[in-house]
Amino acid sequence: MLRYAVIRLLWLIPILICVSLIIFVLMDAAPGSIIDSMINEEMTQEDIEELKREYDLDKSVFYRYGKYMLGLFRGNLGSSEISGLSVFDMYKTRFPKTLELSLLSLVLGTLIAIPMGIFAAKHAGTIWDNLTTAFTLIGLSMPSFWLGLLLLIWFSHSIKLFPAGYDGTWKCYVMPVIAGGFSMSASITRQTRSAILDVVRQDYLRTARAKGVPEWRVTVKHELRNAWIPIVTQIGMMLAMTMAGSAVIEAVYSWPGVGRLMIEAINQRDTTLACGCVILTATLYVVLLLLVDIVYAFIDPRIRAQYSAGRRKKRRAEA
Amino acid sequence: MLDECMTNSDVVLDVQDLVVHYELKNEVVKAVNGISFTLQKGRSIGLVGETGAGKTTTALAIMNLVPKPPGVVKSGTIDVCGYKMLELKPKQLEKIRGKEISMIFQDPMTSLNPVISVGEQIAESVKLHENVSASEAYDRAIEMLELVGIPGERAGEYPHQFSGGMRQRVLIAIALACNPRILIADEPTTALDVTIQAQVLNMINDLKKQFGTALIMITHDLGVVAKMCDDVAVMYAGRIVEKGTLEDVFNDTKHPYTEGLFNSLPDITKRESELKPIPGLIADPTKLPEGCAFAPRCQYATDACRERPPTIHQISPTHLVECTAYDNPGFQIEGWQNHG
Amino acid sequence: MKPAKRSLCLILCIILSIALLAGCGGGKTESSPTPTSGSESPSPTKGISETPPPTEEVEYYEHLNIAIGDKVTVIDLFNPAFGSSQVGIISHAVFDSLVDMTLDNEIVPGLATKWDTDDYKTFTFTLRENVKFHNGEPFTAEDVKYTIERTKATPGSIMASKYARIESVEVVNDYEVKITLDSPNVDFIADMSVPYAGFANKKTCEADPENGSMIGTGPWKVTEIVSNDYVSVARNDDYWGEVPVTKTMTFKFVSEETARYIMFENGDFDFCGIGSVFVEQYENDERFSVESYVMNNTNLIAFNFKDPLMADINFRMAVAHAMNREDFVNITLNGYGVPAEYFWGYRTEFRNTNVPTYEYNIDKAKEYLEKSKYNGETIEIVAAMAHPISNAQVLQENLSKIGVKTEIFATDGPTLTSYTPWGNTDSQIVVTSGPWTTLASSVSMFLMPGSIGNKANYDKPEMTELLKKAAMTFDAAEREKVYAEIQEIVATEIPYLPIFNMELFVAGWKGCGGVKLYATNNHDYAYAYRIKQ
Repeated sequence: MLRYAVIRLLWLIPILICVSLIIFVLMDAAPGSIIDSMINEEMTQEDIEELKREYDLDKSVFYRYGKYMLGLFRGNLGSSEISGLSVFDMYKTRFPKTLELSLLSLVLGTLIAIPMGIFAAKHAGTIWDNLTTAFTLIGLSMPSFWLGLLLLIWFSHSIKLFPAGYDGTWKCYVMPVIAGGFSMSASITRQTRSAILDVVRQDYLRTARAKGVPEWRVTVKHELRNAWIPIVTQIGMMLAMTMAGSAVIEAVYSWPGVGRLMIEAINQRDTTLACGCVILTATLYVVLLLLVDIVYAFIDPRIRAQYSAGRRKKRRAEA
Repeated sequence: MLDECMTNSDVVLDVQDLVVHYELKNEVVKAVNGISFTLQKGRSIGLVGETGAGKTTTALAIMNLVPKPPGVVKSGTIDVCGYKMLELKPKQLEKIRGKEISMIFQDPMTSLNPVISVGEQIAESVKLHENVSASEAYDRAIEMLELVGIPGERAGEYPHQFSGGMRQRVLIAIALACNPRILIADEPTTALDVTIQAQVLNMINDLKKQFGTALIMITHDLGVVAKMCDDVAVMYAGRIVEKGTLEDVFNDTKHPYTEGLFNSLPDITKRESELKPIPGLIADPTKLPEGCAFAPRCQYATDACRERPPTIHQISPTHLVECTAYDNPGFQIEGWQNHG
Repeated sequence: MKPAKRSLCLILCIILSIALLAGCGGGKTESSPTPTSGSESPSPTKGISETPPPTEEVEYYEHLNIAIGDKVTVIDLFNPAFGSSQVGIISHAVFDSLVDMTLDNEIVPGLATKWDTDDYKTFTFTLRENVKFHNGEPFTAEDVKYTIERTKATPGSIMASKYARIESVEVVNDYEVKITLDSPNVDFIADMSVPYAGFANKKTCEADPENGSMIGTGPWKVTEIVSNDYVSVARNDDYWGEVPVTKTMTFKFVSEETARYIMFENGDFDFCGIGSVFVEQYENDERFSVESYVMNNTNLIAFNFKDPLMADINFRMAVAHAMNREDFVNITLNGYGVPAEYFWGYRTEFRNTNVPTYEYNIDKAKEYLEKSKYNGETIEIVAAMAHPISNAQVLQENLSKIGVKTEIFATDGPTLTSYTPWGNTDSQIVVTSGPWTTLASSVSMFLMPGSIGNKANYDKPEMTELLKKAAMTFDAAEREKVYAEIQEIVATEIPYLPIFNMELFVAGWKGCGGVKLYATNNHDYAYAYRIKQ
């Protein structure tokens, strides 16, 4: 298993190289460049040329990319071209806030979703199932920023229950977490429901009942334990997605997180900052998915066996 | 208390007039249409019939495990050691299942939970029904594994690490872990190789003798019946068409369907002869006729057979047949034919 | 002060006072156009821009929260990224310039107590003594020299192009500095009066290259800055000028408008810039006061002269007659704006109203179109940001009425900047908003070949000569004539057509005051206060 994890982590290197190259080329291809947010109309052409030279814009994108990668290999993510602050510091200050939001939304979403999914699966075909499906459809189609705005208007304006933006107290977490958790819970519910439906047809449940296992234990110990795999996959993916910056929720609630940071970097064509953010987020993503895979091994012994494929477990084939 | 068999008599299972239907949206599947039989302590009965005859439904009904929608037990009583299975509440049923009566199923490949070790799955049964600690239960599980011929140190392994035959043995271990009075085996060897079949059947027999378990062997294979069973009940379209001891049914076959079954068996000694199958298809349980369900395929069928349900004839104290043809005292089937 | 300068100031004062009076309060005077149909000229419940706070014993809020309109990335005189739209607001608080310009366009002493020039080429400034930077370092001529030279050496920094014309800075003594330009410039003093022509301390910057340039001499010192989020400042109790009554302030940018308004109404902001949609609601709400001002920038349509069709005067005349300015004001600004007849900045000096203007007349427009080279092709209009894009759409609709087909390319700021300069654009019409200052010389941005702001790619030697001449004419009256001629040419050749001047609003809670709202949007919050009710 250790070997497996190490190999997965080694894959990070080609992934990061690819990802950074793509960002560089895309940002370069996008009309406009970093100096455009700095140009004011009083500058002359020479001023602008000089500014370009300052940011290496007179050289090809590959030169700039090369310079960036050189720095990267030395472990230096560079400084934001606009503000001059270290990319890593900027990301580091804002990351915990995004992490908090993502984790809390995920917890809320999961707490809602899993019981609901089980409930829907158990009552498949009845009106309860239809209601649950309606709920998930609403959650999936409702843009999270719209829900965020609605919550903002209802609970910050009409009833002054929660603050409208980040202010450091626990109260300001409530609305963004609900907005984020709601949309997440929709997809997890769906996934849980179909995972359980899948499992419910299995023969080994019949064996369990024939043994006299009480119904609740059949659900929890036998059904759920087998249904975890697709659910955990979904949760892992959702977590990675929100960590990549629930930029939308962050924009609505003025949340000082990395989603907003990335968007601002792109808007200002600050390639170093944008690339740095993407690289850090990609790394996080890879690590997270790796963790999810490791969790699988704890849930499903068949997968655990695959990981230890190097070591043979004696497979006696005789009956 | 639901601890011991509630009756002291020899009869451990008494099924009377069981009717089970599956009510679907557009049609009703009449799976079991009024069957009755009893089973005594330590004896084994074979439930024979083709696929779709209602054997598995009967077995599930006995455990009260028929899937509730769409399955409905329309009428009948089932008495397991004096417990009225169809009237008990779920909590009580859970205490009986696995303890007084156990079942093993047809497909061993999918009948075990893939994420729990085999030892755990056996121990689960023990812990549910006996007042022992977790480690004691686990020890018991290891014992059971040894009993079915699997080395005890493999108790921590997972089902995917075992072959089909071994898995079926694990299932047998689970079923017998709490020493039930009745074991229902639903086509336990159908999915296994012929050589393994023999091993598993032998093992079931040995255990049955060792523990004094009564056995219901559900199968379509007459050979298995011959080997394992004291009594036989032949089922067709949800009814028992012939019932008796092994002697009665095999040597004094009465019902045309039973005759047809025997005739369908290939004779390994007569290689050049032709197979003699029963003409027609098995009755459609959603469209059962007024009269005898077998009549459309029966070479002896008369108008009377087609018009009303078949008469029940008690040939001997142990032997029963449902066939209108026997209204005519002189009637006799041709018996087993030598082919060719 | 020199007599020429004095009369200039006087004229400006008069013009602008009248305009100011016309802008606020319900009174209407002849010299200023009034807002259009629909809504009445808003009579704001005043309070926000009263300058001296009332002197009775009142209790002030110690901390103020101010919502700003755009993000502040850094505070650093030498970093081009500081030059965002909020640079004026921050600079008013943190830095001081050598001279200041009041709301009435009058030049008053700042860090310099006296200034002198004979030829508008060499300027001598006498600096104020006993001025300290926020960290206690004294302000001297060395700092002036350092700031100017370092700015010149940093391409893209806000004052770089202005200081580019400075040839040398000589430190005569601690409190006297001589600045020599490479050629005479009548507007040099006015240039130095912008709030972001501030000064940093040489010693501090050299000791702390990262954050040293945040230390200024202004009434407020920076306590915290979270890039693109907020800036917190604390009162400079050792300030050489008047010390504010408020103790701390936070300038915060909230990108989501809904959230910003909710926060304002919840009391999380004391001051907030508001959109025209909310004006009526807030004016009628007792808790708030609303102040309005007309923005100096005139929104314009620029014709790309590099395109043969656009270079055809008949086509341009057709467009001029097809434009219905009422539509623009009503649709883009919800009626809160002034249709512009003149290309000039609203409050820019030397405004010439004796130039040809073109009224809305569809028949005339069609006539001109016939005469023009237009052959049914589709014209591309490019615009960036909400208002210009909306204007582009109105223009499209107006032009469709005379049968001109158009296509709009809507984009974002940086893209537009890279897309339009120096004739590299494919677009024929650019909808834009020109950054007019109060100085007439800012017109060269639009008309000088090679300038970024010259979206029309206008290049006529006659005009270039006039622009240069104006910069060299020391006498104000003479200069006025030159600019009058420039405006006439523009109005006749119409490389640019004016659309409107926006009316902007700032709202505050009852008891708020002390804010100076400049038409250039470089508001001065240094003396903002809020009285406890």
